[in-house]
Amino acid sequence: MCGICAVMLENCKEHFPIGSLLYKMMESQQIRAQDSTGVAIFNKETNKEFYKIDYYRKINGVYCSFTEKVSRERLASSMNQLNKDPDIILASFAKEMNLLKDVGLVRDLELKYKIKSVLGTHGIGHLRIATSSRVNPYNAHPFSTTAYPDMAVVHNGEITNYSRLRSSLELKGYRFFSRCDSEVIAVFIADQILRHGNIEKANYEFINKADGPFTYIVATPDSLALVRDKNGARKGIFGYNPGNKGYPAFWAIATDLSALDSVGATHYIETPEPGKPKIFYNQIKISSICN
Amino acid sequence: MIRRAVLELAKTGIPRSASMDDNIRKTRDLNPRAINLWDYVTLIGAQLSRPAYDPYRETINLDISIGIGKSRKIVLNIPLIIYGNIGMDSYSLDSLHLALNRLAEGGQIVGLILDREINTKKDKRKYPLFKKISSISENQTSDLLGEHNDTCADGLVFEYKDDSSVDILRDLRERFDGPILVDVSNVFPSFNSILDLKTDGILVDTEKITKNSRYNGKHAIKVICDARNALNGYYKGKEESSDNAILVIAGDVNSTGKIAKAAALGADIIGYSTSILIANSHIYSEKPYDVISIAENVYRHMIGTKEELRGIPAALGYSDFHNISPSDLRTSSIDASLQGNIPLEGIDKTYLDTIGGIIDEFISNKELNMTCSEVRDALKSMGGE
Amino acid sequence: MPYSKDVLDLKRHILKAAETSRSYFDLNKLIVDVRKVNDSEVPYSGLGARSPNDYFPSIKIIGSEIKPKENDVSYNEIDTTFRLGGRYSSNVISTNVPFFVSGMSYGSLKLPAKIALHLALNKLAKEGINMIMNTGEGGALPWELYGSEESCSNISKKRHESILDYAVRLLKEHNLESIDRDLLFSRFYPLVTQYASGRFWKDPSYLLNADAIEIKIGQGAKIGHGGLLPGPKVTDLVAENRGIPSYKAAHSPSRHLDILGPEDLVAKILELREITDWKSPIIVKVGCSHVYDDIEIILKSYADAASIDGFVGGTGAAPWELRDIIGINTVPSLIPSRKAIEDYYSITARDEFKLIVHGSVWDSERIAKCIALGANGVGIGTGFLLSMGCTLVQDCYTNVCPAGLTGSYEKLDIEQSVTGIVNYVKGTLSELKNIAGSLGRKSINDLRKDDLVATDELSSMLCGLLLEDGVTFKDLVKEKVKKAIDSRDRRINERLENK
Repeated sequence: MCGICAVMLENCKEHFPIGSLLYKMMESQQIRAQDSTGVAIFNKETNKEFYKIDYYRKINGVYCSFTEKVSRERLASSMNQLNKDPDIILASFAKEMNLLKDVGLVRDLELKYKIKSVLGTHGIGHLRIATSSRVNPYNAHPFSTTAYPDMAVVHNGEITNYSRLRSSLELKGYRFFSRCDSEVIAVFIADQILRHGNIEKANYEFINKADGPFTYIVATPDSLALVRDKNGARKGIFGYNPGNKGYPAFWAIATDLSALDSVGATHYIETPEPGKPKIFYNQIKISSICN
Repeated sequence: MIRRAVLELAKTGIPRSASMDDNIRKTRDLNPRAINLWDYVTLIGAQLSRPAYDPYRETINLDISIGIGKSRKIVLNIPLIIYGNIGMDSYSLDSLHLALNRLAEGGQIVGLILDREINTKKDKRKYPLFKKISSISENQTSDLLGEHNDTCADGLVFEYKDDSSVDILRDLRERFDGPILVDVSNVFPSFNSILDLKTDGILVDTEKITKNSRYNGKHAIKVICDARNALNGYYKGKEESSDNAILVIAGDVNSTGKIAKAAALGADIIGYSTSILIANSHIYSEKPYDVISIAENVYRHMIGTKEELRGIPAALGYSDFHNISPSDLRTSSIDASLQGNIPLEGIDKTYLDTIGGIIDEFISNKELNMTCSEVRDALKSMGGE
Repeated sequence: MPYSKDVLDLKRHILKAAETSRSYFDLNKLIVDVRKVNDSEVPYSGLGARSPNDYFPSIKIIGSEIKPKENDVSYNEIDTTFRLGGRYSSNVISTNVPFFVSGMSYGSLKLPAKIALHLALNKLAKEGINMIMNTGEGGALPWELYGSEESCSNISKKRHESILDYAVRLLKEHNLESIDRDLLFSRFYPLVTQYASGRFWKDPSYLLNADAIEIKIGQGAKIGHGGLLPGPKVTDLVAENRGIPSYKAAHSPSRHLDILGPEDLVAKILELREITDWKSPIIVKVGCSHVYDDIEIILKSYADAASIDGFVGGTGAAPWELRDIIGINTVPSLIPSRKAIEDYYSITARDEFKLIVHGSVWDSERIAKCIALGANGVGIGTGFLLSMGCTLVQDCYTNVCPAGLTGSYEKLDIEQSVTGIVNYVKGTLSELKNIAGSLGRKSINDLRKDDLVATDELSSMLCGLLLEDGVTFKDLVKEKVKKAIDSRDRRINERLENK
């Protein structure tokens, strides 16, 4: 693991090429981690009609990528099939989220997917240097899960009791697609959300149960959460850019200060207390609650 | 031998005529039983791919709670319960009591399993006592439930003998609200029916079990592995809760290294006998019956043990002792790999998985023609079952 | 260990109690329990763990001899070069000795032992045998860093004076004032300084005057545990060199506080490269545990070499139980390490990355086996102690040592030790050349896995070696499987017949 970053517009009524901000932050850290990159960008204005499932399927020993568009009605049966198929590895399960990841550098990702021009209200990014699972596209972050759509996790650190957490989630019936410990965060949080819907509580539960030094960002259409383990062994900071004529105000999260510098998010720089998640809510959701 | 090899060179600088490894090879025929299989098992530590914790500067948790569902909970600060099939005189017992009290006062609660009452008239017991019973009479029951005195036990260890023990256990469960640990050594490894009765924990004495016919010649490693598999098998598919019965392992687990390895294999708590030995050693000392100084000995030993126990998960990359898992174990012995399903060092696969992989290769290359059941049987026979 | 009478009595009493109990007690580590009873502290031990199976005796080098056969020509021309650096560093250390002195710090080793090593290596270098030495984590001694006029030219007069003053105090304390200063204040061998988590140095020359830097993530003897020097060994002079308070136990952090993961290692190495102007080779040392993953990370982190240390590797002081139970053996670590490197080269061009191995290697055959299994170089610690007279008492964490190495320094005869080291190195080098020569190789680096054979199933399986009768491990499995099927068929037939 390596470099995590995230951006959220202060006013989520606007849409902005979030991808370009993430690109800048990731490029500034690229030298430290060059195995793979990935971003997940949220845009409420993307299709509301169907779910998009990106996955890899093993054909003649090689994994090839596929995309399926599934309507709400067919969702349950499609998911069921996917979860049972041993030759499939999930890349993304989304409706409002655009999750793009691959091996290589961030500029390779830009060449392939034009991430700089992807519009959205908020997004997360990741640069990977493999620690314990192999380098391939499906071990790249962000991680998504079939348990819950539009959830993406980027992670820096190790979840040392990963196998224990994974087996207890597998006993409940959840499917894992990689051997990367970061995936367990996505599945765990998804399981918690399904139980009680509260993202803050979900993160606290994970902090209590997980062991090891970690910092992660979990993103949903309505929130971004920056979480550090209870000992605060790994870094994670956020800052604010008040905006200008060319661009709106936004919050940025990163592992390193230099990444915040690269996008001018140098106001109100803070680091969350270890073991206490810092959550940014999508303003649209909050205002709709108030209404 | 090693010294001689280098000294010879250091004196003369002239190349030797034989390497020391040739000599080691010649004397290799050690009696395999003389070496404990535990010595061939190690844990893999945290370096780069996973960073270590620092036990001197960071909090490492050893706490564990005993008691499921509605049972009254007992929390141990060190995952040890003093246990032993060893006789103790009243001086040993008193010194144990003093030491454990002192530990408890300092926030280092360790449990004690005893088959008799403990005299706490002088100072109240601050550590949890598990009373060991195999059958009970009416009088004993009310004593145990101790509404009228404070010698009652905090928990029970019930020695399950055979089918006739079911009713006693059921009765105990209804009337006793503290944790009940059941010693299943006589019926090991089948104890599902015992778990059905909502027991709070299973106690497995590897020393007893390796003496009986089924596990004769096997090592504690196999017993612990089977115990954990049986427990996990019982809970598979059931709703996950942190309220699963705990596994207490006793027997050949009386040093810190073995405690850590047993924990990795699946033990939650260790039934620890060394403290009893220390207490008993007073008979041979120059000042026997000096309860205070024996208690000091037991106390100091436990403090040292606790510090050792804190260092181990930290060196493996965990901040909690109970996160140590089988994936942290490696072995340099085929026998240990078979008995404990432990991956071999270097290749990180168990012996059976390695052989299985090779057999699969042979079958797909058509070098061997075997059915699934033949493969299973072959693996079973090579596994020495 | 000169245990007190009380401690020994206690051991006897507990032993008796164990013997009279009807229970089984494994009494091999009884002394550990006794020590805990004595002082409630975690007991330390010195040197390395005893592994019941360290694989070396189960592997043979086929057809080799460590002494040349009578009619064979002398093998003096056999190449034994080891090159360190060049992958990212502009400097390359080229030495004709593929083994070196592992890090043993001043503090865990007393001054006379360190001086003996220094003088011996100087002597060898003058004879054309330039062996690398590692400072260990306790900082470097003045003559190691300032052993040349050039190294002194960059510092101020005041600084120079204080260095000399410290050196004089060091020699005075150990009654070594009569040593020839010119002989002492020169260094002709390559020096690797160790960058450990304790950061025990104050002088930038520690990094700038070194020929290479080794970032120590961990060592085999105490994987996951930081460096350790017990309080009584932190004398005033040791403390001064390290920049710490005297007589307080020095517990280095278990991890570098600024290296928590691979990207931090990358940042650290790039920082060191900037400081050294990209000149010095950088090695990263880890204890053997998750070896494949660790080497993979090191390969991607701009290092020039990786160093792995088996759990049987020695140390001056480590918590006893921790030393004995954490880590894996040296030989089975070599295989995944080499595989990690080869897997890396399957997608990148081959380069000058080197693999160094430590842990229970102290004679030429073991060195040769390591090289054949994939190492480029070997670190030796205990071997050098033995050549200086070590008697393996394993009390290195105390101030008492019968050989005068890690304690009782007045016992050490420096001249004799220098002779011992020189003979050991020359003899081992000769033996190495003889091994390669008797196999018909021109270079020690041409030793291959094919030159090795396993004498038991386990070594064959873990190292991918043939067994002695030319059988592969897979063949063995096939045989076993066939036998298992045959015996099952026989049992079925017997049952049918009985019916």
